[in-house]
Parts: sequence; C-alpha cells; structure tokens
Amino acid sequence: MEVIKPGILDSFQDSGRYGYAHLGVSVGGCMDKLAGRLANLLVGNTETEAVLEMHFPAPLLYFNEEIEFALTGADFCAKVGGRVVPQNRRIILPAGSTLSFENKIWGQRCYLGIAGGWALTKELGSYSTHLKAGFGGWQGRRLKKGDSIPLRQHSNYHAQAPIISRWFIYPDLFYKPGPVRVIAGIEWHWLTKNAKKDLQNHPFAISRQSDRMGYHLSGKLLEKTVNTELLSSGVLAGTVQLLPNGNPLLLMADCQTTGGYPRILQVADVDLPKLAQMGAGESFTFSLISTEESMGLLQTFHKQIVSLSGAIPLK
Amino acid sequence: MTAFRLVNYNEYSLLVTFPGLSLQQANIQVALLEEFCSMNCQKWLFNQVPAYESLLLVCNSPKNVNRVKEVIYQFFQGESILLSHHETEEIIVPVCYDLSLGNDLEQMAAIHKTEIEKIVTCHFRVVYHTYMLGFLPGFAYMGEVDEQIATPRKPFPVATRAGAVGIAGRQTGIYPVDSPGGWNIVGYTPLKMFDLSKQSPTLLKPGKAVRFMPIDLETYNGLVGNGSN
Repeated sequence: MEVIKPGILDSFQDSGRYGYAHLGVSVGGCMDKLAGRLANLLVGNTETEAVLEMHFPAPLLYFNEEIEFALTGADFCAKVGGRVVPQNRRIILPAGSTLSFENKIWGQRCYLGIAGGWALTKELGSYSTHLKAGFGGWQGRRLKKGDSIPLRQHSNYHAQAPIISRWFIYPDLFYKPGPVRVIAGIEWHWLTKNAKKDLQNHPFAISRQSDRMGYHLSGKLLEKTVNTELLSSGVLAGTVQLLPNGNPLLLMADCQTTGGYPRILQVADVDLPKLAQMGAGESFTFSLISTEESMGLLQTFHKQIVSLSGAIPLK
Repeated sequence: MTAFRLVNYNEYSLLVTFPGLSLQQANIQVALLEEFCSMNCQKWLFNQVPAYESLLLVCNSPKNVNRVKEVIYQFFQGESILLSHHETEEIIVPVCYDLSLGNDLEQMAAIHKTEIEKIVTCHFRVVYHTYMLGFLPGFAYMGEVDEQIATPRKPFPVATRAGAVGIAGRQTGIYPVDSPGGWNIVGYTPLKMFDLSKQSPTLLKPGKAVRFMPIDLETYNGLVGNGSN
C-alpha cells in the first residue's frame, strides 16, 4: 500500500494496548472500537488485527496488488476510478487501484480493514500507534507521503474490476442519535445540586481543542462543593472529568492512564462509538442511567455483535 | 482487616481505595493488592492502574467482575497485610542542573526568594519514594519535595524535552518523552526513562527509592553522546 497523499491524521490502530497501564502506557487503539472490529470481521480477520484509522481529509492510497478490504465507521465517499465504494461490505480491488476519499458524508473516523492485515510488528502487545511516545503502528507515527506499507497476505481472486459484495452490514443501530448515556462517576457527589441538574438538562458542545486524547466540552459551567485537591487516580476512555474552569473534559482512546481532576461521569461503553464519530461543533445531551442499566445495554450489544458476525458470509 | 472501599468504575472496572490510611500506607496497600491480583486474577484483567492511594482494575469482560471481586475480598481477609515492601536498593538518577540546558531554576529562585544553588541542593539531597507511574509511558510521580522548594504547576503547559526533571507541588517527576507539560524544570537526566528495547521498559516502578545525583554539563553531554542506557 503506497501513500500518494497523506490524510490529516492516518494511523494504524487496533482493539487497544492492554497490560501496560501500570507503566503509564495508555490503551489507545481505535477511537471507534466497534468500527475497527467490524472492518476486521468483514474481511475475515481476527478482531485484534490492525486497521487504518483515517480522518477527513483522508489519504490517497495506491495498491500495486489485488486487495480484499472493507471500510467502516465514517463515510468519506470512497471512490476507485470514479466509482463509489460503499461502506460496510467486503470489496475486492484489482491490482493497480487507487482509493480516494471525496467528501465527508457522515462521521469523523473511517476504518480500512484488509484481509490478512499489514505486515506490522506488535509493540507492547499491540499494533496501535502511540502517537505521543512514537511507537507501534507504522514507525510509531501517522502516515506520510511516500510510505509504502507491505501487506501480510496476497489476495488471489484475479479480479479485473472491483468486486463488491451484494450483502452488507447495517451498523446504524449502534450510532442512533440521541442523548449520550452516562453513569455517575467516582466524584459525582462532589457536584452541586445545580451542576447535577445542568448536566442532565443542557446540551454540551465539542470544542475545537479535541483530539484522540479527549474532547473539551462547553456548556453550562459546573460547580463543585468539594475543593480539596484530588490525588491522581486511574481514568478510562469515557471518563468525564471536571476541569478547574468548570468545563467537562471527556476522555477518549489516547487518554492518560491517570488523572487528577474529579471524575464526574462515565460514559456507558455502548455509546463510545457514537461519540467517536462526533466532531468539533456538534452538541449532545447526557442522560444519567444506573450501572445496572448500562450493564444491560452492554450485554445486549454483545449479543447483537455476535449475531451480526454470524450473519457475515464466510469466504 | 484493612479498611477499604470497592466501587464499580464502569461496566467492567472496579476501583479500590483505602480511606483512613496515610498516603504512605495506602500506597503500600495499592502495591500489595496489585501484586496479589497479578498472581490470582491476571487472566480476567485487561489492566491494573495503581495510583497514589487507589487501584483501578479493568476486567476483560463484565462476566469476570465478580471473580475479580472475590480475589479482592480474599486479599483483605488475609493476615499480615500491612507488611511493607522493603526497597533497600536506591536507583541513582544523574541530573544536570546547568542553566545552559534551559530550565526554570531562575524563575523558581525568584518565586522562593532564594538562591538557585539552594533549590538544587534541596532537590537532590532527599531520597524520593516512587508512588506511581502515569501521564506518559514511564513518567514516575515521586515525593516528597522539600516544602521550601515546592512550586505550583505553570499556568499553561509548555513544550518539555525528554529527560526533563520537574517539580509540581511537593512531587517530582521525569519526562520520558517530549511532551507539553506544566511542571517546573530543574534539570535534565541523560537516562532513558522509557525504553522499548528493554525487558522492563520503564526505569522506575512504584515503590522504588530514587536519589538524584548532580552531574556537570561535560558529564551530561558525555552520557547523552554515549546514548547512555
């Protein structure tokens, strides 16, 4: 795979780097872990294989050999030779194809999964690019012009033209619009009564200083009743911290392992993919649910994924 | 039995804290519980995040939360838990406090109305305890910095180089990679704090005792040139 023109932020990611948080190594991985997983499922890979995470503007990619791939997550109107390449299907492109992304139709992060994956080496048990420390993925960094990344497996369909599966998966139910469901965070009780109400009744907007580490939110300023300094303690993707200026910070995939701001909310795991597809300027509301409810949602989600993967035709 | 608090952090994670213990005691309990969980329930865990006085346990499936809870209860039912880790070995970290490397010693001297030499001496004469790793791969939070030179974080993070040794409040730490940071930089170490080519990629671990050894610019440049460690 040759990078003719890089996108704004293209990096290899996977289901996450686990087992090193005690050394301060963040979990990272796909921002939208559901889309990453589906990209792998569609092409018959294991769920922990690397995928390419792309933002818009996305890269221009050339393949000198035949590839079998799938695109999931955001829809950036992918095209090959002027022909639209649909999302969420298994596709075979003949050798010598150029894949381009024309415009942003929906979402923020698009995933490219290729049968067999790329010939990358795992670092600390994962293919994910740790952008801050510069390791993992492809040379520990985002892709740049001229990169040539070998594939691990050769595709043997001898396609003369793109072959697009007639079947497709329909993951929209996982990205349903509506409030982001949250459970009370560890320091929820630090909030004033009004802050607790405001969190549930007013929208919050994703600010421009938002990236793979986290989203700075703006809305009603929130106050707390407790003013003691918190000693740094573990945090996870989906943790909402309250910054000293009264604005919430929603941690995402590349968040630090520990933090010192009060953890006021925790996003229900099933709503993280939806958030990963939201960008600067978009607003949403929070809906507070119980831990039992969020566990129920996660259970249903797992069942849906299992039946979805069972419905994908084997090769 | 040690008093502890166990709460659900999310659908598959648990947070253990130790209300009523001093920071030092709690930090030892965190290390002991982490070790106990590594031995008894590693297969059900994605991650353990030990911090100053809390341990976050991230299970690899919601189904394993109760199994991990059982292991935690077993730990607290055990006896002789307050035995401390005996770390006798000190890790020596050479630090060059030379102003020419670009540090914040002049500003700190102004804040504390004292001499630069005084800040440097106060910083290296203490043996520090490593409480936790976090923030960046291999970034160790160590304490306690002498009250006389405790300095609040900068109002905004600024570009900070790998190897920078900083102070934030009564904590001291070392930047393992280039990063924006708000700690007040007193010097630079030629040592690599995070090295993927090593079996154990971080130089420091919770519980380790650390002593800073002042070195001059020539020694520092020599060690950096050699790609020391």
